[in-house]
Amino acid sequence: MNQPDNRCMTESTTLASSDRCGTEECRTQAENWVEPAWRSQRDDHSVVVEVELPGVVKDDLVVEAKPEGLLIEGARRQPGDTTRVVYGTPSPDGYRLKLRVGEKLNAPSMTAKLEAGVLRLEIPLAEEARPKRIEVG
Amino acid sequence: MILSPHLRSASPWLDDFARIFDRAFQIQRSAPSNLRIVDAEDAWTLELDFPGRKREAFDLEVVDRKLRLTVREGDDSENRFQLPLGPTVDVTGITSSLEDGILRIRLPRRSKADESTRIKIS
Repeated sequence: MNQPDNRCMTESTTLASSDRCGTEECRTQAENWVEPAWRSQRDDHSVVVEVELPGVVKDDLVVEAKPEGLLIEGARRQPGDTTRVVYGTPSPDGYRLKLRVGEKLNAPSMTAKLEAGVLRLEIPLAEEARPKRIEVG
Repeated sequence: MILSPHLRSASPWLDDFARIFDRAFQIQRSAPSNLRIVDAEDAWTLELDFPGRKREAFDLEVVDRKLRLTVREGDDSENRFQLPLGPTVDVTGITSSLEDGILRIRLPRRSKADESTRIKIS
């Protein structure tokens, strides 16, 4: 999961990466904040989103469900002096992801768990989006 | 310079790497794409992002002044890379940690005092 899984943005009408714009985005670019890799999977009851946030701890993570979408922001902890990167790409200062959430998801009721640098969000489907069993009379 | 001429010409980044570290390390196999090396005064730190991985997925060992990292992807798949360590790395002081999805391997530098050996005249 090194790259964002773009398939899930197009396969599902319930989750999509939102447009990036505005001064906040400019700030995050200056500080080397990047969009993390993520993937989602939907079943009959919920959508599970997994976001890769290596180096982010719970205290530095913000997950907000807003009317315009889901905002995930996490600063990456940098132990010691990381300015002298002599090989490879310097690590980002943090991660920022905005997801548009469709009407068929009950975002305020989601649960979140951060473990080993992976944020797992479980967003329940709205009642009308769940499969209904029709009894044959 | 520690790399042999044929290795240097084979891969430009190996040449850069050798110039940076000069006698410290050499890489024989291609390095993982997520490898990052931070240079501090007393040590080098190798940093690799492995979000979601558990400690059991890694084997790290030093054999004959070579650092060997094995990363198990599943039951039957694994990736390995090997980093020969030059004389300026103190192999007895190497430590590693896996925290919040980041594997860090600290390679301490040998001090100048360690590099010299006093010979007793009998």
